[in-house]
Amino acid sequence: MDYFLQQSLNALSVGGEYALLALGLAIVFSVIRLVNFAHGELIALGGYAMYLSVLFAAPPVYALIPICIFVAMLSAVCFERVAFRPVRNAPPTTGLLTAFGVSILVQNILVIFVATRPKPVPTPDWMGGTMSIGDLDVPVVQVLETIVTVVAITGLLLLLRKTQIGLAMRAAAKDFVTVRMMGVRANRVIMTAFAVSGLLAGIAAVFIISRRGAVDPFMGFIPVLKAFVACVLGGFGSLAGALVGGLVLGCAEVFLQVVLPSQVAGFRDAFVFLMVGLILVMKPEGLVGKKVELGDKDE
Amino acid sequence: MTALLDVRSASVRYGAIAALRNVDLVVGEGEIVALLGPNGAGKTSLVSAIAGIVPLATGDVHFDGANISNLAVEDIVRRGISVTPEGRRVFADLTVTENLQLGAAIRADRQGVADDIERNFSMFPILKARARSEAKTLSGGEQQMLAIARSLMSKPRLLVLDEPSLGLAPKIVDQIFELMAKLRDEGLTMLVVEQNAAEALSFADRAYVLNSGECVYSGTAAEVANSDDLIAHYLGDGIATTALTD
Repeated sequence: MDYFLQQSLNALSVGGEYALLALGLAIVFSVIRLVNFAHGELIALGGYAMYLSVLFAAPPVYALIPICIFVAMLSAVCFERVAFRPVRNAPPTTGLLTAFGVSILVQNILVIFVATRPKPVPTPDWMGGTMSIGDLDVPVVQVLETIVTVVAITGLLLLLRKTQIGLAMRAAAKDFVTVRMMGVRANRVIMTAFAVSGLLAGIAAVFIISRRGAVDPFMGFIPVLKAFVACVLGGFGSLAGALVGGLVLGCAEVFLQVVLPSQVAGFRDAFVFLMVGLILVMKPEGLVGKKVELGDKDE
Repeated sequence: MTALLDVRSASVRYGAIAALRNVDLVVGEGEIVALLGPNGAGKTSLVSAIAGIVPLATGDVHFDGANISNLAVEDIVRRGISVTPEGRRVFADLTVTENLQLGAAIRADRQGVADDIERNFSMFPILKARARSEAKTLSGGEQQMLAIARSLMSKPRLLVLDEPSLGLAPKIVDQIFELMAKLRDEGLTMLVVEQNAAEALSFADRAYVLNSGECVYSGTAAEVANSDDLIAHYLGDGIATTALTD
C-alpha cells in the first residue's frame, strides 16, 4: 500500500511536469498555430541562467529558482519578438522551421560559449531531501512539484477566466480577427501567451534541474518531445487536452517503470510510445479532443 | 450635417480581382445609412476596408475628420467605429457575459463596463437569461443580438452592422430591426449592410446601392424604395426573398 501511494505521488509529479510543459506548447499553439519546438530551450536557458549566476555572482541557492523562472519567461518573450513575430503571417511550416532554427541556434550558442559537457547546478538542499506524510517517506521534490503544478494550473485558469487578456486569449484561439476588432492588440495577446508558456517552462525547469543536478545544451530535447506527445495524446490545441495528456503520459511512464521486468525496463519509453500509438489509433482526435470530419463546420 | 464617416473613391482588390471600385460613401452624424446590393456586390469588402481588415487599393477612409485608412484593425474601434461582422462571429467558447466583457476591451472603467452589461441585459432580456451559457449554445437570433450587444460595449460613435438579418427567421428579423430602431432613437449613427432591402429601406435615412463593386445609386431611402428600376435590377432578390431560413 505504501509503495502504491509512493508511486502514485511519483506519477503525479512526473505527470504534472509534463502537463506544465504541454500547457506551454498548447497555449502558444492555440493562439498562433505554432508548434514551438524551441520550447525545450527555455528549460535549458533557465538552467544555464542558474549555472552562470552561480559562476559569476554566487547568490544564495534559493535565489536561483526565481532567476531560472524569470529567464525562461524572458527568453520565451524574446523568441517571440525576435524570431516568430517576423514570420507570423507566413505559412505554418515557416513558423515550424523557425522554431527548429531557434532551437539549434540556442543549443549551439550554449555549446560554443559554455561547454558541451554537463555543468553542475545546485538547488536548495531541502529540495533533495525526503519528508514524512503520516508513516510515508516521500521525496520533497515530488510533493512540491505536485503542489506547484496544481497552483500553476489554478493560476492559469484564473488568468484565462477572470482577466481581460485571458478572455482575449481564449477567444483568439478560435477567431483572432474578431478579437482584434474588439480593440485587443494582437501583439499583447501573443506576447502574453509566450510569457505564460515561458513561465510554465521555467517552473518545470526548476524541478527538472533539481532531479538532474546539472545542465547541458541538449537537455531540452526530451522534455519538449514528451510535451509534444502529451499534447497529441490529449488532443492538439486544447488546454484541457494538454493537461490530461501530460498527466496520462506521466502516469503511464511511472506505471511501466514499476511493472516492467528489469530486463526490458530500458525500453520503457518504447512501451510508452507504443501505448500512445494504440490510443491514437483508437481515438485519433486525442483523449479529450472532439472528433472532426473533413468538411465539418467550425463552431 | 457633418460627415462622421467619409469614404473617398475606395477600391479593394483580392489579387487580380477588383471587389470594390472607386466607391464614395458618407455617413453623417446621427444618420442611418443602408448599404444595399446583391451577393458579391462588394458590400462586405467595403465594410472590411472600413474596419481595417483588408487594405485599400485606392482611396481613403476618414472618420471624424481624421484619415483612418492605414490604421490596424485594433485601432479602428478605439476611434469609435464598432463593426458587427457578417455571420455574427460571437466567441463560441466564451459565455454571454464574457463576450460582452471582451466587447469592452478598450475601456478601463470597470464599473462603467459592469453597468453597460446590465444595460444590455435590460435591452436584450434573452441574453440575461443566458448570461452564463457559452455563446455557441445560443440560437442564430440570440447570437445576432449578442453580436450587436457586444459591439455596443465599446460605446461606438458609429455602429456598422454587416448583414444583421442574414439567415434568420422572419420573426427574428423583425426583432432585430426593432432593436435597431431603438438604437436609432437613442441617436446612434449606423451603417447597415443588408440584402434584405425592403426592411432596410423602411428604416434608413439614405441608401447606397452597390453592384459588381461599383456604386450604382445613392439617394434617400424613399427614392430608392420608389425606384422600380433599381429594385428590378439590383434589389429584386432582396425584396422578394426576405430571409428564408433560421
